[in-house]
Amino acid sequence: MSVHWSKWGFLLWSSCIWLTISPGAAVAASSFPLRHRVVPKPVPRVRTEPSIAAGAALYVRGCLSCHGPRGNGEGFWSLPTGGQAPRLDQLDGSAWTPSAVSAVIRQGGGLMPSWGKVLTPGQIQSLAMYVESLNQRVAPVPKTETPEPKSTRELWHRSH
Amino acid sequence: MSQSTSAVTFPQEKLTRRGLLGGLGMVAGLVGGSTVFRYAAYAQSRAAIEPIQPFRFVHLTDTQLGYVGDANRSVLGSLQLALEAIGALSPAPDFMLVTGDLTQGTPSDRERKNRLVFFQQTLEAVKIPFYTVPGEHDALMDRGKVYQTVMGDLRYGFLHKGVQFIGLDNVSQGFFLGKDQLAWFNGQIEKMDVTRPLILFCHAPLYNVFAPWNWYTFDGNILRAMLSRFRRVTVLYGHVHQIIAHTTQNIRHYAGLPTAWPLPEPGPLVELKPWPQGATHPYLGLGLRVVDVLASGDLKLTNLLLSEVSHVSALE
Repeated sequence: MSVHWSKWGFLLWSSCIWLTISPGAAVAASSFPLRHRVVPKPVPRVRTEPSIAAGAALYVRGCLSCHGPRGNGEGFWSLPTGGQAPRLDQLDGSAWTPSAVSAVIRQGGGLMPSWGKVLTPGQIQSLAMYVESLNQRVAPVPKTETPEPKSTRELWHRSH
Repeated sequence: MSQSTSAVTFPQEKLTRRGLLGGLGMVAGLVGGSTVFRYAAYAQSRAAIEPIQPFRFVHLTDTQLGYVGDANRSVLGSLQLALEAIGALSPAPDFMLVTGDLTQGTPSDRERKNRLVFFQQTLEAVKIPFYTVPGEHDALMDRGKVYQTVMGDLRYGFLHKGVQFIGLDNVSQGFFLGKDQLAWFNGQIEKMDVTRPLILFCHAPLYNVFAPWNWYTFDGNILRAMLSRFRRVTVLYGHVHQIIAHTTQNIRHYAGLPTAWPLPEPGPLVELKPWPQGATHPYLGLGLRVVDVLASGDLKLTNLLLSEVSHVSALE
Protein backbone atom coordinates (compact mmCIF):
# COMPACT_ATOMS: atom_id res chain seq x y z
CA MET A 1 0.00 0.00 0.00
CA SER A 2 2.67 2.44 0.91
CA VAL A 3 4.41 1.60 -2.38
CA HIS A 4 1.35 2.82 -4.30
CA TRP A 5 1.25 6.05 -2.31
CA SER A 6 4.93 6.71 -2.93
CA LYS A 7 4.35 6.47 -6.68
CA TRP A 8 1.31 8.79 -6.64
CA GLY A 9 2.97 11.10 -4.18
CA PHE A 10 6.06 11.33 -6.33
CA LEU A 11 3.98 12.12 -9.40
CA LEU A 12 2.03 14.75 -7.50
CA TRP A 13 5.17 16.28 -6.05
CA SER A 14 7.03 16.34 -9.37
CA SER A 15 4.04 17.96 -11.09
CA CYS A 16 3.98 20.56 -8.28
CA ILE A 17 7.66 21.29 -8.87
CA TRP A 18 7.14 21.51 -12.64
CA LEU A 19 4.10 23.77 -12.39
CA THR A 20 5.98 25.97 -9.93
CA ILE A 21 9.08 26.40 -12.01
CA SER A 22 7.75 26.49 -15.58
CA PRO A 23 5.81 29.81 -15.59
CA GLY A 24 8.57 31.60 -13.72
CA ALA A 25 11.23 30.14 -16.00
CA ALA A 26 9.26 31.25 -19.04
CA VAL A 27 9.02 34.80 -17.72
CA ALA A 28 12.68 34.83 -16.78
CA ALA A 29 13.70 33.48 -20.18
CA SER A 30 11.62 36.09 -22.01
CA SER A 31 13.24 38.87 -19.99
CA PHE A 32 16.72 38.01 -21.24
CA PRO A 33 17.93 39.58 -24.49
CA LEU A 34 17.21 37.53 -27.54
CA ARG A 35 20.87 37.26 -28.50
CA HIS A 36 21.52 34.75 -25.75
CA ARG A 37 19.21 32.30 -27.43
CA VAL A 38 20.04 32.90 -31.09
CA VAL A 39 22.43 30.40 -32.57
CA PRO A 40 24.06 31.81 -35.68
CA LYS A 41 23.59 29.77 -38.78
CA PRO A 42 26.89 28.24 -39.85
CA VAL A 43 28.17 29.56 -43.14
CA PRO A 44 29.90 26.91 -45.21
CA ARG A 45 33.34 27.96 -46.36
CA VAL A 46 33.86 27.25 -50.00
CA ARG A 47 37.32 27.74 -51.39
CA THR A 48 37.17 29.12 -54.87
CA GLU A 49 40.05 29.73 -57.21
CA PRO A 50 40.34 33.20 -58.77
CA SER A 51 38.59 33.27 -62.11
CA ILE A 52 37.51 35.67 -64.84
CA ALA A 53 33.88 34.70 -64.18
CA ALA A 54 34.16 35.72 -60.52
CA GLY A 55 35.91 38.90 -61.61
CA ALA A 56 33.11 39.70 -64.05
CA ALA A 57 30.51 39.42 -61.27
CA LEU A 58 32.56 41.71 -59.04
CA TYR A 59 33.08 44.16 -61.90
CA VAL A 60 29.31 44.48 -62.41
CA ARG A 61 28.82 45.27 -58.72
CA GLY A 62 31.76 47.53 -58.07
CA CYS A 63 33.31 48.92 -61.26
CA LEU A 64 30.71 49.10 -64.03
CA SER A 65 29.10 52.27 -62.67
CA CYS A 66 32.24 54.37 -63.34
CA HIS A 67 34.27 52.44 -65.92
CA GLY A 68 31.30 51.35 -68.02
CA PRO A 69 30.11 47.91 -69.07
CA ARG A 70 32.83 47.60 -71.73
CA GLY A 71 35.53 49.23 -69.61
CA ASN A 72 35.82 52.17 -71.99
CA GLY A 73 35.15 54.79 -69.32
CA GLU A 74 31.54 55.33 -70.37
CA GLY A 75 29.96 54.67 -66.97
CA PHE A 76 26.46 55.45 -65.76
CA TRP A 77 27.54 57.55 -62.77
CA SER A 78 29.25 60.93 -63.01
CA LEU A 79 32.28 61.39 -60.79
CA PRO A 80 31.87 64.00 -58.00
CA THR A 81 34.54 66.18 -59.61
CA GLY A 82 33.10 65.72 -63.10
CA GLY A 83 34.77 63.86 -65.90
CA GLN A 84 35.04 60.14 -66.56
CA ALA A 85 36.85 57.24 -64.97
CA PRO A 86 39.92 55.98 -66.89
CA ARG A 87 39.50 53.57 -69.78
CA LEU A 88 40.45 49.99 -69.03
CA ASP A 89 40.27 48.67 -72.57
CA GLN A 90 43.34 50.52 -73.87
CA LEU A 91 45.87 49.88 -71.12
CA ASP A 92 49.51 49.49 -72.07
CA GLY A 93 50.21 45.85 -71.31
CA SER A 94 53.89 46.42 -70.54
CA ALA A 95 53.13 48.99 -67.82
CA TRP A 96 49.85 47.52 -66.57
CA THR A 97 50.92 44.06 -65.60
CA PRO A 98 48.41 41.92 -63.64
CA SER A 99 50.25 42.74 -60.42
CA ALA A 100 50.12 46.48 -61.16
CA VAL A 101 46.36 46.29 -61.85
CA SER A 102 45.86 44.33 -58.62
CA ALA A 103 47.82 46.95 -56.68
CA VAL A 104 45.59 49.79 -57.97
CA ILE A 105 42.43 47.84 -57.17
CA ARG A 106 43.73 47.11 -53.69
CA GLN A 107 45.09 50.55 -52.75
CA GLY A 108 42.96 52.85 -54.90
CA GLY A 109 43.98 56.44 -55.41
CA GLY A 110 42.17 59.66 -56.18
CA LEU A 111 38.53 58.78 -56.76
CA MET A 112 39.36 55.10 -57.19
CA PRO A 113 38.19 53.25 -54.04
CA SER A 114 40.60 51.21 -51.92
CA TRP A 115 38.96 47.87 -52.58
CA GLY A 116 41.51 46.12 -50.39
CA LYS A 117 39.47 47.29 -47.41
CA VAL A 118 36.56 45.12 -48.42
CA LEU A 119 37.72 42.48 -50.94
CA THR A 120 39.87 39.42 -50.32
CA PRO A 121 43.18 38.95 -52.20
CA GLY A 122 41.51 36.22 -54.27
CA GLN A 123 38.65 38.52 -55.27
CA ILE A 124 41.13 41.24 -56.25
CA GLN A 125 43.02 38.72 -58.37
CA SER A 126 39.76 37.70 -60.08
CA LEU A 127 38.96 41.33 -60.76
CA ALA A 128 42.43 41.94 -62.20
CA MET A 129 41.99 38.93 -64.49
CA TYR A 130 38.68 40.28 -65.76
CA VAL A 131 40.14 43.77 -66.28
CA GLU A 132 42.96 42.18 -68.26
CA SER A 133 40.40 40.43 -70.45
CA LEU A 134 38.77 43.79 -71.22
CA ASN A 135 42.04 45.18 -72.53
CA GLN A 136 41.91 45.06 -76.29
CA ARG A 137 45.62 45.86 -76.59
CA VAL A 138 46.77 42.70 -74.89
CA ALA A 139 43.87 40.47 -75.85
CA PRO A 140 45.28 37.35 -77.49
CA VAL A 141 44.88 37.35 -81.26
CA PRO A 142 43.99 33.94 -82.64
CA LYS A 143 46.93 32.55 -84.62
CA THR A 144 45.27 31.65 -87.90
CA GLU A 145 47.09 32.03 -91.20
CA THR A 146 45.39 32.09 -94.52
CA PRO A 147 46.98 29.36 -96.65
CA GLU A 148 48.59 30.54 -99.82
CA PRO A 149 46.73 29.43 -102.97
CA LYS A 150 48.25 26.42 -104.61
CA SER A 151 49.28 26.62 -108.17
CA THR A 152 47.06 24.91 -110.75
CA ARG A 153 49.95 22.65 -111.73
CA GLU A 154 50.43 21.43 -108.16
CA LEU A 155 46.76 20.77 -107.74
CA TRP A 156 46.68 18.82 -111.02
CA HIS A 157 49.63 16.69 -109.86
CA ARG A 158 47.96 15.99 -106.53
CA SER A 159 44.71 14.93 -108.11
CA HIS A 160 46.36 12.49 -110.50
CA MET B 1 -14.30 -7.26 -4.00
CA SER B 2 -12.63 -6.03 -0.89
CA GLN B 3 -9.45 -5.69 -2.86
CA SER B 4 -11.06 -3.51 -5.40
CA THR B 5 -12.84 -1.42 -2.78
CA SER B 6 -9.69 -0.90 -0.79
CA ALA B 7 -7.88 0.06 -3.99
CA VAL B 8 -10.45 2.79 -4.62
CA THR B 9 -10.62 4.07 -1.07
CA PHE B 10 -6.87 3.97 -0.48
CA PRO B 11 -5.94 7.35 -1.88
CA GLN B 12 -8.75 9.10 -0.01
CA GLU B 13 -7.47 7.74 3.27
CA LYS B 14 -3.86 8.78 2.74
CA LEU B 15 -4.52 12.12 1.03
CA THR B 16 -6.04 13.50 4.14
CA ARG B 17 -2.57 13.89 5.61
CA ARG B 18 0.18 14.03 2.98
CA GLY B 19 -2.06 15.07 0.10
CA LEU B 20 -2.99 18.21 1.95
CA LEU B 21 0.65 19.06 2.42
CA GLY B 22 1.33 18.37 -1.26
CA GLY B 23 -1.61 20.46 -2.38
CA LEU B 24 -0.64 23.34 -0.15
CA GLY B 25 2.92 23.06 -1.40
CA MET B 26 1.74 23.13 -4.98
CA VAL B 27 -0.48 26.20 -4.50
CA ALA B 28 2.17 28.04 -2.51
CA GLY B 29 4.80 27.14 -5.07
CA LEU B 30 2.67 28.21 -8.02
CA VAL B 31 1.69 31.53 -6.54
CA GLY B 32 4.91 32.33 -4.73
CA GLY B 33 7.35 31.04 -7.35
CA SER B 34 5.77 32.71 -10.34
CA THR B 35 5.28 35.96 -8.43
CA VAL B 36 8.92 36.04 -7.42
CA PHE B 37 10.06 35.33 -10.96
CA ARG B 38 7.68 37.89 -12.46
CA TYR B 39 8.74 40.54 -10.00
CA ALA B 40 12.40 39.82 -10.69
CA ALA B 41 11.85 40.06 -14.44
CA TYR B 42 9.87 43.29 -14.04
CA ALA B 43 12.57 44.82 -11.83
CA GLN B 44 15.24 43.78 -14.32
CA SER B 45 13.35 45.29 -17.25
CA ARG B 46 12.78 48.55 -15.38
CA ALA B 47 16.47 48.81 -14.55
CA ALA B 48 17.62 47.98 -18.10
CA ILE B 49 15.29 50.12 -20.21
CA GLU B 50 15.16 53.83 -19.66
CA PRO B 51 11.75 55.06 -20.83
CA ILE B 52 11.74 56.85 -24.18
CA GLN B 53 10.83 60.51 -24.00
CA PRO B 54 8.99 61.74 -27.11
CA PHE B 55 11.01 64.14 -29.22
CA ARG B 56 11.34 65.46 -32.75
CA PHE B 57 14.25 65.72 -35.14
CA VAL B 58 14.74 66.69 -38.77
CA HIS B 59 16.35 64.71 -41.57
CA LEU B 60 18.13 66.87 -44.17
CA THR B 61 20.24 65.54 -47.01
CA ASP B 62 22.14 66.39 -50.20
CA THR B 63 22.44 70.13 -49.79
CA GLN B 64 25.37 70.25 -52.28
CA LEU B 65 26.58 73.74 -51.31
CA GLY B 66 29.00 75.11 -53.87
CA TYR B 67 27.20 73.67 -56.87
CA VAL B 68 26.90 75.99 -59.86
CA GLY B 69 24.75 74.74 -62.71
CA ASP B 70 21.30 74.33 -64.17
CA ALA B 71 20.04 71.58 -61.85
CA ASN B 72 19.57 74.19 -59.12
CA ARG B 73 20.49 77.79 -59.75
CA SER B 74 20.60 78.56 -56.02
CA VAL B 75 21.40 75.62 -53.79
CA LEU B 76 21.94 78.04 -50.91
CA GLY B 77 18.48 79.55 -51.49
CA SER B 78 16.87 76.09 -51.33
CA LEU B 79 18.75 75.23 -48.16
CA GLN B 80 17.80 78.49 -46.49
CA LEU B 81 14.16 77.91 -47.40
CA ALA B 82 14.40 74.50 -45.74
CA LEU B 83 16.10 76.00 -42.67
CA GLU B 84 13.36 78.63 -42.36
CA ALA B 85 10.76 75.86 -42.43
CA ILE B 86 12.70 73.99 -39.74
CA GLY B 87 12.92 77.13 -37.61
CA ALA B 88 9.15 77.55 -37.82
CA LEU B 89 8.38 74.01 -36.68
CA SER B 90 6.35 73.66 -33.51
CA PRO B 91 7.35 71.81 -31.42
CA ALA B 92 10.90 72.63 -32.37
CA PRO B 93 13.20 69.74 -33.33
CA ASP B 94 15.88 68.70 -30.86
CA PHE B 95 18.45 68.39 -33.64
CA MET B 96 19.00 67.92 -37.36
CA LEU B 97 20.54 64.89 -39.05
CA VAL B 98 22.25 65.66 -42.35
CA THR B 99 22.98 62.52 -44.35
CA GLY B 100 25.83 63.57 -46.58
CA ASP B 101 26.71 65.50 -49.71
CA LEU B 102 26.77 68.65 -47.66
CA THR B 103 28.86 70.24 -50.41
CA GLN B 104 29.42 69.73 -54.11
CA GLY B 105 32.59 67.81 -54.89
CA THR B 106 35.72 69.66 -55.88
CA PRO B 107 39.29 68.45 -56.53
CA SER B 108 40.72 71.34 -54.47
CA ASP B 109 41.21 70.60 -50.76
CA ARG B 110 41.11 74.29 -49.90
CA GLU B 111 37.85 74.85 -51.77
CA ARG B 112 36.34 71.77 -50.14
CA LYS B 113 37.28 73.09 -46.72
CA ASN B 114 35.77 76.49 -47.53
CA ARG B 115 32.53 74.89 -48.64
CA LEU B 116 32.31 72.70 -45.53
CA VAL B 117 32.98 75.68 -43.25
CA PHE B 118 30.31 77.64 -45.09
CA PHE B 119 27.86 74.76 -44.64
CA GLN B 120 28.67 74.63 -40.93
CA GLN B 121 28.12 78.36 -40.50
CA THR B 122 24.86 78.24 -42.45
CA LEU B 123 23.43 75.53 -40.20
CA GLU B 124 24.76 77.06 -36.99
CA ALA B 125 22.75 80.20 -37.76
CA VAL B 126 19.54 78.22 -37.09
CA LYS B 127 20.60 77.59 -33.46
CA ILE B 128 19.59 73.94 -33.62
CA PRO B 129 22.24 71.26 -33.02
CA PHE B 130 23.06 69.10 -36.00
CA TYR B 131 24.82 65.82 -36.74
CA THR B 132 26.33 65.01 -40.10
CA VAL B 133 27.83 62.10 -42.00
CA PRO B 134 29.90 62.52 -45.16
CA GLY B 135 28.73 62.01 -48.72
CA GLU B 136 31.04 61.04 -51.56
CA HIS B 137 31.13 64.68 -52.69
CA ASP B 138 32.52 65.64 -49.26
CA ALA B 139 34.98 62.85 -48.63
CA LEU B 140 35.83 60.53 -51.53
CA MET B 141 38.53 62.74 -53.06
CA ASP B 142 40.78 62.80 -49.97
CA ARG B 143 39.36 59.84 -48.00
CA GLY B 144 37.62 62.24 -45.63
CA LYS B 145 40.67 64.09 -44.30
CA VAL B 146 39.31 67.62 -44.81
CA TYR B 147 35.85 66.56 -43.66
CA GLN B 148 37.28 65.30 -40.38
CA THR B 149 39.12 68.54 -39.70
CA VAL B 150 35.97 70.62 -40.21
CA MET B 151 32.99 68.44 -39.31
CA GLY B 152 34.48 65.83 -36.98
CA ASP B 153 34.41 62.04 -36.96
CA LEU B 154 33.31 60.07 -40.00
CA ARG B 155 31.42 57.58 -37.81
CA TYR B 156 30.04 57.84 -34.28
CA GLY B 157 27.10 57.01 -32.08
CA PHE B 158 25.00 58.77 -29.47
CA LEU B 159 21.99 58.20 -27.24
CA HIS B 160 19.18 60.73 -27.20
CA LYS B 161 16.18 60.44 -24.86
CA GLY B 162 16.27 56.66 -24.89
CA VAL B 163 16.88 56.20 -28.64
CA GLN B 164 20.20 54.95 -30.02
CA PHE B 165 21.74 56.65 -33.06
CA ILE B 166 24.75 55.55 -35.12
CA GLY B 167 26.22 57.57 -37.98
CA LEU B 168 28.09 55.53 -40.59
CA ASP B 169 30.58 56.35 -43.33
CA ASN B 170 29.93 54.30 -46.47
CA VAL B 171 31.47 56.69 -48.98
CA SER B 172 34.91 58.03 -47.98
CA GLN B 173 36.85 54.91 -49.08
CA GLY B 174 34.35 53.87 -51.74
CA PHE B 175 30.76 52.69 -51.57
CA PHE B 176 31.39 50.24 -48.78
CA LEU B 177 31.82 50.18 -45.00
CA GLY B 178 35.04 48.20 -44.90
CA LYS B 179 36.35 45.61 -42.47
CA ASP B 180 37.55 48.17 -39.89
CA GLN B 181 34.24 49.96 -39.66
CA LEU B 182 32.28 46.73 -39.53
CA ALA B 183 34.42 45.59 -36.59
CA TRP B 184 33.85 48.96 -34.89
CA PHE B 185 30.10 48.71 -35.53
CA ASN B 186 29.99 45.21 -34.09
CA GLY B 187 31.68 46.52 -30.95
CA GLN B 188 29.12 49.32 -30.67
CA ILE B 189 26.03 47.15 -30.98
CA GLU B 190 27.40 44.59 -28.54
CA LYS B 191 26.73 47.12 -25.76
CA MET B 192 23.27 48.01 -26.98
CA ASP B 193 19.83 46.92 -25.92
CA VAL B 194 18.16 45.02 -28.74
CA THR B 195 14.69 46.13 -27.70
CA ARG B 196 15.51 49.83 -27.76
CA PRO B 197 14.94 51.70 -31.08
CA LEU B 198 18.10 52.02 -33.15
CA ILE B 199 18.39 54.65 -35.88
CA LEU B 200 21.27 54.45 -38.34
CA PHE B 201 22.08 57.36 -40.63
CA CYS B 202 24.45 57.30 -43.56
CA HIS B 203 24.76 58.66 -47.07
CA ALA B 204 24.42 55.69 -49.44
CA PRO B 205 21.68 53.08 -48.99
CA LEU B 206 22.64 50.00 -46.99
CA TYR B 207 20.93 47.71 -49.49
CA ASN B 208 21.18 47.45 -53.25
CA VAL B 209 18.90 50.10 -54.73
CA PHE B 210 20.67 50.32 -58.10
CA ALA B 211 24.36 49.42 -58.33
CA PRO B 212 24.98 50.88 -61.84
CA TRP B 213 24.36 54.33 -60.32
CA ASN B 214 26.33 53.49 -57.14
CA TRP B 215 23.12 53.46 -55.15
CA TYR B 216 24.23 50.69 -52.83
CA THR B 217 26.74 49.68 -50.16
CA PHE B 218 28.98 46.83 -51.29
CA ASP B 219 29.14 45.12 -47.90
CA GLY B 220 25.82 46.40 -46.51
CA ASN B 221 24.56 42.81 -46.23
CA ILE B 222 27.18 42.08 -43.55
CA LEU B 223 26.00 44.99 -41.43
CA ARG B 224 22.35 44.03 -41.89
CA ALA B 225 23.16 40.48 -40.72
CA MET B 226 24.80 41.91 -37.58
CA LEU B 227 21.52 43.65 -36.78
CA SER B 228 19.35 40.55 -37.13
CA ARG B 229 18.64 40.35 -33.37
CA PHE B 230 17.55 43.98 -33.07
CA ARG B 231 13.83 44.52 -33.08
CA ARG B 232 13.41 48.17 -34.19
CA VAL B 233 16.03 49.39 -36.66
CA THR B 234 15.53 52.34 -38.99
CA VAL B 235 18.02 53.60 -41.58
CA LEU B 236 17.87 57.19 -42.80
CA TYR B 237 19.97 57.91 -45.88
CA GLY B 238 20.35 60.27 -48.82
CA HIS B 239 22.31 59.99 -52.08
CA VAL B 240 19.34 58.96 -54.24
CA HIS B 241 17.71 62.44 -54.17
CA GLN B 242 14.17 61.10 -53.86
CA ILE B 243 11.84 59.39 -51.40
CA ILE B 244 12.32 55.62 -51.30
CA ALA B 245 10.98 53.38 -48.53
CA HIS B 246 12.05 49.75 -48.30
CA THR B 247 12.16 46.92 -45.78
CA THR B 248 14.85 44.26 -45.47
CA GLN B 249 14.01 41.62 -42.84
CA ASN B 250 13.89 43.60 -39.56
CA ILE B 251 15.19 46.93 -40.94
CA ARG B 252 13.26 49.81 -42.47
CA HIS B 253 15.15 52.06 -44.89
CA TYR B 254 14.03 55.60 -45.75
CA ALA B 255 15.70 57.88 -48.29
CA GLY B 256 15.23 61.58 -47.64
CA LEU B 257 14.28 64.42 -49.93
CA PRO B 258 17.25 66.53 -51.08
CA THR B 259 17.41 70.29 -50.98
CA ALA B 260 19.63 70.47 -54.09
CA TRP B 261 17.92 68.67 -56.99
CA PRO B 262 15.83 65.57 -57.62
CA LEU B 263 17.08 62.59 -59.63
CA PRO B 264 15.16 60.13 -61.82
CA GLU B 265 13.94 56.85 -60.41
CA PRO B 266 16.32 53.92 -60.91
CA GLY B 267 15.88 51.35 -63.63
CA PRO B 268 17.15 52.33 -67.06
CA LEU B 269 20.82 51.69 -67.86
CA VAL B 270 21.56 55.25 -68.86
CA GLU B 271 23.91 57.84 -67.44
CA LEU B 272 22.54 59.37 -64.25
CA LYS B 273 21.91 63.07 -64.78
CA PRO B 274 19.68 65.67 -63.13
CA TRP B 275 17.36 67.71 -65.29
CA PRO B 276 17.45 71.52 -65.47
CA GLN B 277 15.51 73.36 -62.81
CA GLY B 278 12.09 74.40 -64.10
CA ALA B 279 10.94 78.02 -63.99
CA THR B 280 7.36 77.12 -63.04
CA HIS B 281 8.26 74.48 -60.41
CA PRO B 282 11.71 75.43 -59.12
CA TYR B 283 11.40 73.35 -55.94
CA LEU B 284 10.03 70.21 -57.56
CA GLY B 285 11.17 67.15 -55.60
CA LEU B 286 13.00 69.13 -52.93
CA GLY B 287 12.24 69.03 -49.24
CA LEU B 288 13.06 67.63 -45.83
CA ARG B 289 11.72 65.12 -43.35
CA VAL B 290 10.38 65.67 -39.86
CA VAL B 291 10.67 62.63 -37.59
CA ASP B 292 8.61 62.42 -34.42
CA VAL B 293 9.71 59.74 -31.98
CA LEU B 294 6.71 58.62 -29.93
CA ALA B 295 6.80 57.36 -26.36
CA SER B 296 6.30 53.83 -27.67
CA GLY B 297 9.51 54.16 -29.70
CA ASP B 298 7.63 54.22 -33.00
CA LEU B 299 8.60 56.84 -35.58
CA LYS B 300 6.18 59.19 -37.29
CA LEU B 301 7.71 60.45 -40.54
CA THR B 302 6.44 63.60 -42.25
CA ASN B 303 7.93 64.76 -45.55
CA LEU B 304 7.81 68.51 -46.10
CA LEU B 305 8.06 69.69 -49.71
CA LEU B 306 9.86 72.97 -50.32
CA SER B 307 7.26 73.81 -52.95
CA GLU B 308 4.53 73.72 -50.29
CA VAL B 309 6.67 75.57 -47.76
CA SER B 310 7.39 78.34 -50.26
CA HIS B 311 3.70 78.41 -51.23
CA VAL B 312 2.63 78.82 -47.61
CA SER B 313 5.19 81.54 -46.94
CA ALA B 314 4.06 83.35 -50.10
CA LEU B 315 0.46 83.28 -48.84
CA GLU B 316 1.49 84.72 -45.51
